[in-house]
Amino acid sequence: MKQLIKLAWRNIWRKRKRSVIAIVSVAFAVIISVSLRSLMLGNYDKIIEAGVKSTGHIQIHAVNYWKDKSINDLINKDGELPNILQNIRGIKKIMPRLQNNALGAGENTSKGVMVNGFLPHVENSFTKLSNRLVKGTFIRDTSTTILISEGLAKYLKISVNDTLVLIGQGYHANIAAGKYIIQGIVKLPNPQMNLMNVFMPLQVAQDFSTAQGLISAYMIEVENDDATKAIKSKLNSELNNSYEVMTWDEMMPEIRNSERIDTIIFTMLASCLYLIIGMGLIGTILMMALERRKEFGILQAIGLQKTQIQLVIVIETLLLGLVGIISAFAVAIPFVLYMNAHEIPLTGDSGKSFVAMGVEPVLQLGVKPHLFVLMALIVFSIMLVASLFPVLFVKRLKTSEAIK
Amino acid sequence: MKFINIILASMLLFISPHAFTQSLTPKQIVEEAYYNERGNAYSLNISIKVIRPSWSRQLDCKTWAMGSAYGMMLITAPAKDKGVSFLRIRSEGWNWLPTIERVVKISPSQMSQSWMGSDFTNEDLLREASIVNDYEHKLLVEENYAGTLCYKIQATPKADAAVVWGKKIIWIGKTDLLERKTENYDDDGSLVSKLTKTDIKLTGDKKIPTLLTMTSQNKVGNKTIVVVTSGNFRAAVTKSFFTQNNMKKVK
Repeated sequence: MKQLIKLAWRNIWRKRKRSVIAIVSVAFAVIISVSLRSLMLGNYDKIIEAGVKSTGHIQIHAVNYWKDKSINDLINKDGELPNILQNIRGIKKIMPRLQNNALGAGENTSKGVMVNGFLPHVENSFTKLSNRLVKGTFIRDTSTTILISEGLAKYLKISVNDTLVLIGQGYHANIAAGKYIIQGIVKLPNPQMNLMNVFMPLQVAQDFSTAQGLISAYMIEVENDDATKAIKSKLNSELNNSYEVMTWDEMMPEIRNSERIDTIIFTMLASCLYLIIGMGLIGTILMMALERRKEFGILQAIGLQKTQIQLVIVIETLLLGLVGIISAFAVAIPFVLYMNAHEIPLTGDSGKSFVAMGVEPVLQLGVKPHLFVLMALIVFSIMLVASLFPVLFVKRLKTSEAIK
Repeated sequence: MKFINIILASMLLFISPHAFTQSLTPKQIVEEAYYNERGNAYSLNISIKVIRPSWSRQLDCKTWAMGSAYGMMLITAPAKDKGVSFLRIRSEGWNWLPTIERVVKISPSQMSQSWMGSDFTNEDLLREASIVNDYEHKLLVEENYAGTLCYKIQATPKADAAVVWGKKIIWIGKTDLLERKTENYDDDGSLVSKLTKTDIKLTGDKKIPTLLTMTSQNKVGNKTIVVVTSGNFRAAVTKSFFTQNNMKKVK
């Protein structure tokens, strides 16, 4: 066997140029598809990260809250729920939130706004909202002042230390009205969000909506992203049916959907690429077998079994693929790692389109080991298929005719 | 405000001398009924109960009106909303919110929204006496409703009227000419909401329905009940009472 592998290896380098071309074409296909897919997945990692920062990994609401987000579908902040949540392993942090819609008014203009009540000291380490501060200072749990988004401040022509008037409907048809001093202005990456958000300490939001002790959601951060689904089903079994438990991808199905579309596009592209390169390889290997007709005959004549010859051919093709994969990985792995560590900032219109989705405008390749395994498997299967033709050819070969 | 309209009283400029002697046209019946519940001017104490399947909430209010053009309402309870007032002059409305010290104009886009979370819309409350002037009236039949012989009148909006309903069907007591029930239909002819008026009692010096129930048809278990607790149909209010300035200090 060792001898056969040695033989195969030497055979490869008998036609140096042709082998190098075959190896390069394999490597090229692998490098292109790995980089492209890493870029896609890296991009989705960013989108998901941005999304999860705004919703948490999981949220718990009153049943049916998410459908129309009514201020009348609230849950108790204290009581059994936080106790249950604290006892579930894998939950890193729970963050209460109270959201309501209102009309925000400055001096002369007004605009529909989203009022977010939250606990600044609890939530900030997760959402990093304080990093988005462009003016003023961050609020504390006990503040009576508020933060507003930058676009809203511009629209209403108000700034730090001005008063924002909010009017809306509170819990159970109470009037929600109040005036609040603006302590800080935050710039949110998503332009739509940037135009409509008001952040205030939970207590202040509860007073505004007359919803003492009530919240619209518990936002949950899990320790390990991959455990999200498992924790959700655990929560579903522990909580009664007056609650609804939703994961980030259920709250933002658009992310998963566009990822699915991209996966399909990638699969089609990669299939075309591998089909073309696979055909080339099959041709090369078939040709190699055909022009060695006499050689195979002599090998047989001097006593080599047909199966041994076939084995040499299979090993040859697989070695060719292996060398291709190794050289591809030798380029692709450092490249992906480097691009993962050094993201490319996007400027201009393409950068803006990222910002519009609320995502940092950078290109960063994701490091996905399963992708490399998948590509290696694809190349090996192509090589196996390619070796089938010469194997059949040898099987039909008659020694006497071949050595003529 | 319509419910000021609806609710109340009148002393009419015109009770026509022939009213009870000659047969009335459908329009006259509606007009009589409209004015029988209202006067030239009135003040009333009412309580409004908003009922939802899982909760309910009560507001106590004082209302004033003069003619069909002027209306004022002040919330007196619960404590958190005390001092909130609404002013109507013809079809325009304003809302005074003491917590933010502002008078807010009720914009056209808010007209179709619920008033204070009740089953009444702002438009229900703010629209002028359109039931008399904006509709064509047709007497359908005389029938018994809740033990009283009533005129059943169908009101369809005039072509140029800015009205949200496709039609209204109104039951008006034949002897007392007081409205008993109104059904509101949309353009497709399906029932949207129903207002019943019961408990006819002497209030001030007029006999008026004192229990009004607005039921929403597409939301099961949702209704709003208005109870008139006391009233005065000789209230001394003048035009100068109905101003934005007065909204802030009215008691």
